[in-house]
Formats: sequence, C-alpha cells, structure tokens
Amino acid sequence: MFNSVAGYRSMTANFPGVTVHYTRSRIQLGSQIAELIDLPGAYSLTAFNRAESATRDFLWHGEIDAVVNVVDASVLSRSLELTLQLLELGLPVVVCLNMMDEARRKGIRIDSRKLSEQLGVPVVETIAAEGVGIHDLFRTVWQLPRRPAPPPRPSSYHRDTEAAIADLSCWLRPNMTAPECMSSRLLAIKLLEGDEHLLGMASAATRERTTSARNDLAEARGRPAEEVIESERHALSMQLFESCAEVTHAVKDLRDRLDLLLTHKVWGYLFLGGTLIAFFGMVYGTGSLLEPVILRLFDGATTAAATRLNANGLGVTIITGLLQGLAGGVAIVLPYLLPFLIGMAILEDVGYLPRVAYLMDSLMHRMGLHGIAIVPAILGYGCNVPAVMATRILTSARDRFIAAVISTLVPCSARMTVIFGLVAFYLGPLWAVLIYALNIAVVAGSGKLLSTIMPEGSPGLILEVPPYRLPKCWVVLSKTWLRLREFIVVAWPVLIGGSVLLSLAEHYRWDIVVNGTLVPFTTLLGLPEAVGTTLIFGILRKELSMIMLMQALGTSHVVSVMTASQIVVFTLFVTFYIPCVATLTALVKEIGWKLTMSVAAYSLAAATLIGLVGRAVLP
Amino acid sequence: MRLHCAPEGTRIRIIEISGAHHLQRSLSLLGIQIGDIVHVQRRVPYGGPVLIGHRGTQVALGRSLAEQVHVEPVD
Repeated sequence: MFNSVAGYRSMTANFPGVTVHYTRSRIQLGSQIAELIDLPGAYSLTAFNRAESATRDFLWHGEIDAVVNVVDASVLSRSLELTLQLLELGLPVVVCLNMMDEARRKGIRIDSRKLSEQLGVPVVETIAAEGVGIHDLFRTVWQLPRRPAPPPRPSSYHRDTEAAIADLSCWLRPNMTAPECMSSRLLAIKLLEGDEHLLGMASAATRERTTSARNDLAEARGRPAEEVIESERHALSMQLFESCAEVTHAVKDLRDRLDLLLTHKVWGYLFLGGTLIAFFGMVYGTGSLLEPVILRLFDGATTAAATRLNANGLGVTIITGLLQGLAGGVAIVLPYLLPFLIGMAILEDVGYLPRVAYLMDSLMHRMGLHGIAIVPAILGYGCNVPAVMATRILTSARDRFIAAVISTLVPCSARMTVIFGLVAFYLGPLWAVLIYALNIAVVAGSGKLLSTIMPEGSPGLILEVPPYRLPKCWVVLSKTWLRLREFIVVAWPVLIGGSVLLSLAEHYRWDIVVNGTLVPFTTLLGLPEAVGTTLIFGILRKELSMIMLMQALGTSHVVSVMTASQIVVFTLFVTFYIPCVATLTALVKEIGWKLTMSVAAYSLAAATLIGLVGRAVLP
Repeated sequence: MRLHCAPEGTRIRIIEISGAHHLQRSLSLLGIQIGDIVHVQRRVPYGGPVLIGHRGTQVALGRSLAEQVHVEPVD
C-alpha cells in the first residue's frame, strides 16, 4: 500500500513481520506536501513483539495528523479489533479496506457505507496491488478535518466495564504522566488490560489504583480483566462485522488444492527439497553461464591497460586494482546475485515461507526453537542484516538471541558468490552442495548447543499462514532493485576501494607485513601466504575476500596457483568466520556489544576448526 | 480430546484453552476464540504442528500449544 504511493521503498512480503521498523516518505497531497509513514503491521495496540511495540510507540508519541488503518478485508472481523482500538486514540482515522478481491473470493461481501456509519469514520475500498482505490483513499485523507478532530464514536463495552474505564480515566486525567496525545480513556483501557509497558511508566499511585480496578472487574466477571476487555472487544467487532458484511460461499480454487498438497507430510517436504534444488540450480546455472564470459572481457582489458602503460608504474597498479574491483562486481558477484534476488523476491511474495515455517517446525524444535525462527534464517541466505532484524518477530528474548546467532552463520548471498564463484566454478557444483550441507549441519549444531546452554523452553509456534498470491512483476523487480542498489551503492565502492588499496599495498609492499603477521594462521590452514590480507578485507564485505584473492594471487585463474583442497578450505573459512561489519552492527543493535563479540569469537573458532578438519580430510 | 490428536480434514469445536493466558490471547488476535468451530487442515506427524482454518484465516500451531487446546468433534 505504502509502496504504491511512495514508490517501492519499504520492504514487503507475503507474511507478517517483514517490516519491523518504520519508513518515511514525502508525498504530494493536493497542493501540499505530506509526510507518509509506514508502520510495522500489528494485530493489537497491546504489543506482543518488538515490531508491534514500534508501531504502538509511534502512534502514542508521534506527531500525527491522521491515521490510515489499512485493513485486510478478507479477515475483516478480526481486523476490526485493531480499528476499534485506533478509534480510541482520538485521532482522525480513515479505514482502508484493502484486498477487496481476496475478500470477494472468500465470499465476504462488505457494505462499506454501513461500516463507515457504524464506525463514524470514512471507509475506502482498495486493491493496493492493482492500484485500485488509492486515489480515492488519499482524497479522503486530504478531506479529513484538521485537528482537533471530532471525536469518533467510541465503541461501548458492557456497562460495568465502561464504568471501570470511566472511573479510572477520570482519576487519570489530572494525574497523566503518559504520552500527552493519548486519550485518558485509551490509557485507562490499556491499564485495565494490564499493559506491562504502560504500568512500568505509571506512578505508584496509578499502579495501585489500576490493580484494584482490575481486581474489581475480575471479581465481578469471574475472569481476569484483560480477558473481559478482549472478549468484549472481540464481540464488538463480530457484531460490527455481522451488521456490515455477509458471508456467502467461498470460491474453492486451485490454490486451496495446491495448499493441501504443499503442506502434506510427504509431498510437502519433497516439494520443499525440490524448490531449494531448483532455486540454487537456477542461480548457479545463470551465474556460471555469465561468469566466464564477462571475466574474459575484463582480463582482456587488464592486459591491454598493462601493455599501454608503463608495466611497473604506480598508474598501472591503480588501474589494475580498479579494473579488478569492477570485474569482481560485474563478473563474479552480479551473475549470481541478480538471479538469487529475483528468486528470493518471488518466493517471499508467493507466500511460501510461512509454509516452510510450518513444515520445519518440528525440526526447529530439535534445536530448541520453533518454526518461525526459520524465517530469519531463510532471509539470511539473502543478507544477514535483514535476517538479524527479522528476529524481532520472535516473542521470547532467548529465541531472538539464538535465531540471531544462527542467521549470521547462514551463508548470505555474498558468501554464496564465493562458494559458487570459486568452489562450484573451479571444482564443480557438487562441492558447493557439500559446503551448503555442512553449513546446515553447523547451523543446526550451533542452535542445539545454544539451546542446551539456555534451556528455557520456546513459547511454541503460532503463525498466521497467508493465502498464496501471484507475485506482481513490478513488485518483484522493485524489490530486487531495492536490494541490488544496496550492493551497487554500498558494497561495490567498498569492493573497488578495497581492490585499489590492495594494489597500492602490494606496490609499496605493505601486504608483506599483514601477511607476515598472519603467517602462523595461514600455514595452520595450509593456505598460501598471500591469502592473509584478503581475510582481513573479507570482514568488510565477504565478496571482497574472493575478489581480492584473485588480485593477491595475481591471477583470476585461481586454480593455477591453489590446489583444490586449498580452495575448499579457503571457502569454508570465509563461509563461517566473523560476520561482516554490517551484520556486526545489526547484531550490536539487537543483542548488545558483549554478546556480539562472543558471536564473532565463536564463528572465528568454528571457522578455524572447520578449516582444519577440511585440511586434514581433503587430499 | 486435544487439538494435536484431531484427525486431518475434520471439523472441531474449541471448548477450552488451558495453560498460560498468552495462547488464548494470541489466538484471539487471529480471530479464534473458545466456542469457535475450526477446520483441521493438516498435521505434521512426529511432534509437528497443526494447520487449522477458521473464517478464511489459516493458522499454524506448534505441537506444544496444540496440546493445550481442548476440542470436541463436530458432526
């Protein structure tokens, strides 16, 4: 929805929890510029995970003129529960009934005019993926009255609940310590629901008052206060739904039958295996087709440059470095990265990942986690940074930590280019498969190890599985571009810069110092001495270690100077050792300095051990 | 009967959710409440999760959680 107005800026996918922080954009609205902010999806204003609390905090503290409540029309009855809570905020609200096509398919007919009357706020029907109704929606937003808004009709709970709310909110009004823009009524409701975050901010007197009000309500109704309010809200939204919508027969289509097949206890797993093989096969096929062709072009250019210029001059050193950095990006990284990103975008948008979480749940349990933890791990195959951030969809801090650690061990697309560009390219695709298999074993082992150290039980899988959707071409391409731009803008300059730096280092023989210091380490792994610098640079960007390897060895035909086992050991080490700088930064944000350092130390130890075993086992 | 024992393809009514309130709350956010009739779509054997459908929403529920949901068969 956001992307159809602001251009593709915010990451989306067909499962909950992708957007975990908010994205801002300026849009032209009528004659004025407005700021549009996309908040992470939430089921409720009582936060259960960190993505939801980001949304809630923003709504309470942010300077907001209007709220656009984008509702999945196909699950209207439960979506209205959030709408009811938003109305309590006292801000101007427009309800946007999105995915009207999906609702129609499910046999849900919604009378949006009636819904608008009942809620007391405008309701607009849209199909964002096709751009239907977007214009209408923003015209409606534009026509909303400025603040102070007329109070939307508040939902009314049962009489005794209302009395408890009124009582507490009356008491709160002169004693408000909470966010100023929040109505005392909403604050009272949330306190009665036992919202821990708010209770933590409240004064001792407020806490005491809340506890007694909660106890009174619980006593009167025979169940905890939060259950009373939740079930009343549930009943309210059901009433609203039933008065405005009519449910007829759902259209059973191919998707339902397909879904039964893909979640089957035998066929489901076979299909999952087949998908992974097809996916990586496609990436390897495209990449290995393009890599040699482009590499040859750059080799020609480098030789030409060397013969034109003085063969030993500083100029040629810089140009060689520049060309090799460029070549690394164009010839080795892009041919694998591009098909990978397109494939990943399609998989995400189809809605297959939640099915994978479902299928993998019992396996993840063996690691002491549950199925949802597979989502960050899968995202990790693209890039570890979003993977680490995606761990926020997990509710328990322990699960978040373990999931963050294992997602940094997953070989991201940068490491994939090393595995494919070196091992698969020179030694055959079977070796790449072996490295991936070994990696999965190490990831599983590390998960098991961590959950043994932290034995506290995982809360278990509870995940909404969205319907399959046909990916929209523009969304897939924009998403690919958004991620590819990250590589071109951030990584490539680093690659080229690093390459030039290494050329200079070689020219002035600084590399000897670095390599010399690392000699004990490189000899331990049985690698050529020149590899030392590349491993240091690899911490900046993992692709860098491969591209600089070619430069450090002075040839792009690695196989002529390194033995097959050396190539494998090098790749194994690069796959597992210390996460790149960007991932480390993301980790620090999620789990803090100390734990991040121990993750780095752990991965370095694991990489060394695996490298040593590799050296001993391989001929 | 508990939810994890319900056979695939049957319709069941949720009669009780035991254990922590957390589960009841999460299910209620997904629009599933005590008294609702849900469709057991798929079940992964050997401690795997259950996939249930209710009013067009599909929810995957881990084995340990499914064990806390008391159900009775409908029709």
